[in-house]
Amino acid sequence: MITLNNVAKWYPTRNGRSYVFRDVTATLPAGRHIGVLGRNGAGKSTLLRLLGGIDHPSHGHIRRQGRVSWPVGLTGGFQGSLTGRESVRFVCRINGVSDRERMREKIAFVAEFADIGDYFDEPVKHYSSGMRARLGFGLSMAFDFDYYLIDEIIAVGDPQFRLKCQDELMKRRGQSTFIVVSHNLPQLKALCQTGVIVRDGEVSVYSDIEEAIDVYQHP
Amino acid sequence: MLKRASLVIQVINALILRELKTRFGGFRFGYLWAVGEPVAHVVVLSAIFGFRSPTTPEGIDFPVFIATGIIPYLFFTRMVTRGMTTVDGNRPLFAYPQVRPFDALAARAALEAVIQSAVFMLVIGLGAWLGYDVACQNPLAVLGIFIALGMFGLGIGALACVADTFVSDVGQVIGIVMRVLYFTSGIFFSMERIPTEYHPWLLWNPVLHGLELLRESYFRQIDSSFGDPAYLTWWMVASLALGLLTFHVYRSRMVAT
Repeated sequence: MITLNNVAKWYPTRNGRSYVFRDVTATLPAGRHIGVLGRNGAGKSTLLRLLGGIDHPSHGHIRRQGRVSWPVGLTGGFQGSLTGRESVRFVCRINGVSDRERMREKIAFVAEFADIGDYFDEPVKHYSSGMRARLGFGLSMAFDFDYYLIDEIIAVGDPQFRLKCQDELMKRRGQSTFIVVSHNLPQLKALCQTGVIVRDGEVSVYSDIEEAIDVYQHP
Repeated sequence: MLKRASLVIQVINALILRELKTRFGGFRFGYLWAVGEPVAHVVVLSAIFGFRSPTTPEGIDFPVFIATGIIPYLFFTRMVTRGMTTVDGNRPLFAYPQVRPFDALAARAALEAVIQSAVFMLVIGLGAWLGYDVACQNPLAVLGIFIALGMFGLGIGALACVADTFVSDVGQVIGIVMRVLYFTSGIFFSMERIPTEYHPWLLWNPVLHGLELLRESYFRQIDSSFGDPAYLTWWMVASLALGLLTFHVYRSRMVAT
């Protein structure tokens, strides 16, 4: 369960504070996949970043029970001068995987999943955006989280890779909770049970995704 | 609590390994450069000022004198510049919630302290091998002052890192200040050889106090005491307190995109 208590988030601009969230109190239940709806710029990605602990509320606090992933397929989490392999090692270490055997398993998993050949041992700064996405997705799948934060990931890469990602995600559907941001409403409906609408600095939780989609489409 | 501490240690460890990769991995003789830079300074300055220089106290080999100045100075400036670029240099990695700015700062500081201490010993060892008199009178005091200079640099670096997120010209200013300090901190001169009328000006510089103190402890040939331990300590404590405090206060502002 993730609870938000009086969460506000603003960014300083030239004209004072620009609010993304004003005063959000919400509970995201565990065990039900959550679809996040909202127009461009409504704050969906900011919400994910707050949930993942990458960004911090300007006010209020967020309580998490269970391990929350970084946004799946995150392509920004790579230091350009590290190779793919070194990046995997780094993420292993900060997640408490430090013994050689387990680290080797993770590296093998990511190398196989990303399937980028010799580029795995090249600095990440030489990667194309597709290769970064492959590495990023493989890396998120190498660790077990209670919550996976998924930001439009299913739109990444070529068709074969997309299928592979979907398969991999579906395998985890039983044990983990997904929090998915997407504009693809049929997909959300198929994947999620709970719906969240982000609008006008507020976050509303609907226990039924269909209701949420209905409200979202006919405000 | 214990779990939290061990996680922080793991994160810092991972950051140190990553810094090692990017600092030395890109060059073929990466590790050699760390020693090469101070040695190059020693050689060039010795060539300019002559191996028996009028700016050095009697009976001290000039290259050894330079080495005991340039390495602590480089330690100080490295702490400042590496500290200043901590957040920028690690920005992508803050995408992982367990990596916090303070961890990155701690990793850089720890790595730099180890590197520069090793460099110090290697260069002194090299000097001994070349036949110079490198006898150290009070190694413990030298170590203490060396660390104090590094901590002073760390405080300034943390402060510069925060300032850098608000004003992007900080790097330029720091560059100029470091250049000025290179010439005024006594890397290649001793206070006892400087006319007294300039002393009040030079003695404002805390780094000069550091180098004077370090050499007074290092060389038995020096018995003057221009370095004021209290003055250096004051700067160190003030910069560390202010630096780490502002770093803590603005930790999420620095990372926010």
